[in-house]
Amino acid sequence: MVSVTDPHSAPTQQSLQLILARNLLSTLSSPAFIVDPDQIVVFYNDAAGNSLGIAYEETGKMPVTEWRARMGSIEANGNPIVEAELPTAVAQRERRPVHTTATVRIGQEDERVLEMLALPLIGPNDTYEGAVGIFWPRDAELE
Amino acid sequence: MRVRLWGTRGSVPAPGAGTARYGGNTSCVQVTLSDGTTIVLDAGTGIRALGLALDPPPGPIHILLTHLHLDHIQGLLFFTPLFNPGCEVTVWGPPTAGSLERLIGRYLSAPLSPVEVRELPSGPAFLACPGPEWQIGQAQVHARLVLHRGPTLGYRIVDGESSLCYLPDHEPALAESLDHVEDEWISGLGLARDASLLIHDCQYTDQEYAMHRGWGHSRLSDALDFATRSGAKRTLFFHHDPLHTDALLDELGEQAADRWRERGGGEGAIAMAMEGGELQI
Repeated sequence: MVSVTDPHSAPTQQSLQLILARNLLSTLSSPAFIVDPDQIVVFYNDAAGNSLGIAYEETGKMPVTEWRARMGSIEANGNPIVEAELPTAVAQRERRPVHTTATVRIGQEDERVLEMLALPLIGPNDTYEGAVGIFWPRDAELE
Repeated sequence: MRVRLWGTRGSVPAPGAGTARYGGNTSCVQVTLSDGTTIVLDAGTGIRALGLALDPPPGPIHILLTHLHLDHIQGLLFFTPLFNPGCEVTVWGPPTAGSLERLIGRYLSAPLSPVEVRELPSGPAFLACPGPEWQIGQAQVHARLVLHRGPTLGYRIVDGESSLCYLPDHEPALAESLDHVEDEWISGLGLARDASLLIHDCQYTDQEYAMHRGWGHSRLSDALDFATRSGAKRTLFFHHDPLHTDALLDELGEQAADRWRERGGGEGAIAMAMEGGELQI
């Protein structure tokens, strides 16, 4: 049961676009996450939790900075991808889908090559609602 | 505010002896604010009888459409105030790719209708909801997109200390049980929070839902979960399936009340919405 609130107060909840995205992501076996317009990772699915080594239920939301740190090293063409150039950041800045191939090492794991895709979610009246990021391990696909 | 139910059925009108008590008309709820302003939630076939009852019209009428599925707009053509040149009617609706008037004009135009939208004598205004909240008369109206097929709004109307939340077509537990989801991630919950009255979709029994997942409506278990999570003081289950007879709705209502009590809910706080029902909240 939620706490009693002022009946005049504006409802606080995620936008429908993010709710629908979470509904979709929670059913995918591809690692995936959602970033809101304030650059907060507001959800990641079980597959992403397996990659990170910690489930969303344990961490809750986190700033992209923390998410980036938990991801370990992320490189493209031998160069580190800085936070502002992460696909979800570019998707927000430029309002377009972004695809990149990156080499990732999380903790003591071996390097993995990932296809990374970010999709901006544009709602009614061209409102930017957030972005979805999805990973596909290329090496697994090649096995 | 005073609330009167003119249509509680979902999907398609279901008149007949077997549905006479709960009613066969589709979604329409009249809300009379403390300052006398009339708000009409949805324009299903129930709005026809409401129009006849509003003679003469008490003042400006605001029709708030949740979405444009036929069972929520079918009664518009038979709403007599629209044919009264002296009546001021504003029809509010969800944000859509085209103008609201043009979309409603698909129904109110030949060959489906003998009257075109532009010919309605009252010259109604058709407006997309101007934002997440705005003022109508004495009330603050909140609107949010909610989980249903197609762009669909839920509404919260706040008048003084009273609040009504209207979510007639809603499937918040589409992908996962509401047990495991935080409040902010549940569609419509912000609108329903601690409402004096919640009117919520309960189209299906738990058994029926397996065949209808993704159709945009709730089963009894999910409607009960939503009502529990909302903290609403009173809940009416709404949008009855056209196949549900009075006898079945009686049975569903008993089940709902029993399961509500098992959850520690208050006596009489949950009921099946009945056409003609009236409440002061």
